[in-house]
Amino acid sequence: MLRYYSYYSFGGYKDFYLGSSEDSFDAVYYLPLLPVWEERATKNNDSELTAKVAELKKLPMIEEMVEGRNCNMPKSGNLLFSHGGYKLILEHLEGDVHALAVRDIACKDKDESGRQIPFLFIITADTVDEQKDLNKIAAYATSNMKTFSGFVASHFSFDVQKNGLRFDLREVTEWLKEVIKKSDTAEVPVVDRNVLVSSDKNKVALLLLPNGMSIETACDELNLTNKEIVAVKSSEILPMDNVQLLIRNLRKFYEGKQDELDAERMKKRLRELGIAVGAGLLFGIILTSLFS
Amino acid sequence: MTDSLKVLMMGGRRAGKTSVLAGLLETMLHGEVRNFVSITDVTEATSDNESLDEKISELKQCLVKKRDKVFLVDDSKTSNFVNHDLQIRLPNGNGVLNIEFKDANGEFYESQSEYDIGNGSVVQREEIVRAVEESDVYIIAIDTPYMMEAVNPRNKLCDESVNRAYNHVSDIHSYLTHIDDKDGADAKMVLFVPLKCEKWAKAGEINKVVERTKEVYSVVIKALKSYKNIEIDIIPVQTVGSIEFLEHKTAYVCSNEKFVARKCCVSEDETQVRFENGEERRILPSDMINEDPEARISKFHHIIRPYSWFHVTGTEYSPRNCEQLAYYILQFLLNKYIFVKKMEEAKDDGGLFGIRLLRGIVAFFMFLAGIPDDIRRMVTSKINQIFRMVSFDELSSLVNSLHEKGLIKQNTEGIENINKSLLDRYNR
Repeated sequence: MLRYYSYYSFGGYKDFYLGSSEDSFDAVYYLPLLPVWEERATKNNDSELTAKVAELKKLPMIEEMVEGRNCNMPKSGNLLFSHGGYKLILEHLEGDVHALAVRDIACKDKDESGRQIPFLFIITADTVDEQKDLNKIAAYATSNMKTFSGFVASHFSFDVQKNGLRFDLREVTEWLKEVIKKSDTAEVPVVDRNVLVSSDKNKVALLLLPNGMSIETACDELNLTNKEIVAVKSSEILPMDNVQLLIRNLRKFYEGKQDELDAERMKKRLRELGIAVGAGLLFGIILTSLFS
Repeated sequence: MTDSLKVLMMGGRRAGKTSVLAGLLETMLHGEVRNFVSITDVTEATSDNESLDEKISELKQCLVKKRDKVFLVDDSKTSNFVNHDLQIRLPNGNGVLNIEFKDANGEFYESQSEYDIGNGSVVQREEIVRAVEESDVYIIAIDTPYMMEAVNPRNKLCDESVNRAYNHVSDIHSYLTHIDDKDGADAKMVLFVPLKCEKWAKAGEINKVVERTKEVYSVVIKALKSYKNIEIDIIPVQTVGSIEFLEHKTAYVCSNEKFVARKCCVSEDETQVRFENGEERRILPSDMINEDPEARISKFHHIIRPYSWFHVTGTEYSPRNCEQLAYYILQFLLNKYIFVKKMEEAKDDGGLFGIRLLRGIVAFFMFLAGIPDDIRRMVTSKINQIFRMVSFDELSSLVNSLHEKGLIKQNTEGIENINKSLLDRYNR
């Protein structure tokens, strides 16, 4: 079973358990005013509000994760919610649980100053087959970050009728199934190689580093000690859904290569110059000794 | 940044923590102090943090765009633990002093406590505890409108439970219990900073803000006073200068078939709706008006906060007293350095009881001699590291200049010391 989690801002950031691939609901909801209305309905003996509350209580709910209610998220997964150092990570957590986390996804809504409100999305898998599926999703998300992020973000919404946060669970599950079905391999093409995403116990099968982030800092943030890590820089990715970024990353790579070549040429010239100077000096010494 | 003085900023979401740092930078860059000290924001740029320059320019733009308008304060959430590193260069020398402001987003303070808002994860709480242990100075950023309106009898929307939850009073108290002044050897400073004080300052009621701060945080202050070596000050700040708190209104969502507008309010007679940018219009028959679910701020209690609406009164960006935070920090650092040097001297003179008597400060040396060697070494090493980049004379001369020019304010504009540390007593 794939389980979905998020660190999402709705009246403040919260850790949410959204549901699983085996749930049959179309959507799940987070309705923070429901208990307030319930209390108000009883207090005011408001039959209309009582009926509304009863109706809303039938809806499948998004669970808020609190201490003592981890919703099957292993303890080591807490760091993925609370810490940065990665854009995407596919990590073995504990037992059979592997987690794919993508952070800094721009929410559909913007704040008053036009700034993005970021959120985090996590998928966990706990069987061998789903572990393989997660590899494919990780590979797809890495190469299609814009599409992946946009899709997930568009499935969180404010539901006016229910007056709360809505997550379209079924559509996300269906879409992920399509992604898995269409992915033959779990490979991520980067500028100079292909990276095979293959999760395993005690391994970080893929760590996509944000620009400017070193692997040491990321490991420090996420407490990744004694784990095999496959790390890729964001600037090495060949995005399939973002031509401008693709061009920028390719140019950056070839500029880097060019710099390396120039440095190599310079070294070669200096070496040749050194040899020439040395030979000249030696020749001079020989000549001097012959005529003196 | 290495070898920096660590300052932890604590407070609720959107209390104005980043804005007060922006004000600090602005007032030090353009105030009288610029003639003998320079300040630079040397924060490493990442995608996560907004630079203070960006914040300043955002505030300035807001003043121009929204002049004479009413608007809802930006209520978006920041999601990370953001550091702001400020570098202070001292005059006539190469002295450099680094101050690291650790600015945790409001959600970090939201513990699982039944009495507060309760959203922070275990890891986040552990991280704050670590930050509390590592820091020397603590800035408690207080949202003044919520604090003051809780006792305004005309305001039926904001009460003490809203204020305490929004300003994380209990959470902050519980985190501050992790301060360790090493039984007096490692001095600390706590600054209570009521922000967005423009309305009360202009009405000549800043003393009411100070009294209210003492009342709301009385338990915290009492606990802090029980430590041997903690200085406590209250520094009310006008964060922007030209943005004044106007009123609290119930938060609504206005929607119809064409749009959904969050963060609205409605008029008393329920005929008008005001949107977050201040625009108002009549409520149409097709409009659906619902309470905004994001206004609920406690998962354990049914606390619904009203939204704060502000009025832009001018276009000039004129923060007031933000720079006092920097001056108080510099003064504290200097005092701490002197204290540590005396502690070292006391150790050197450890066996010469007669000398100590001659110096006439027996109690002080008895106290210092009682400090275990490892703690003394740790405190000394920490302060020496900070002072690696600046000489004592340089900092001393700067603090003296600030005093001579009357730039360090005391007992005026609500700025008040409510507990002196050992530094003050022994350094005199």
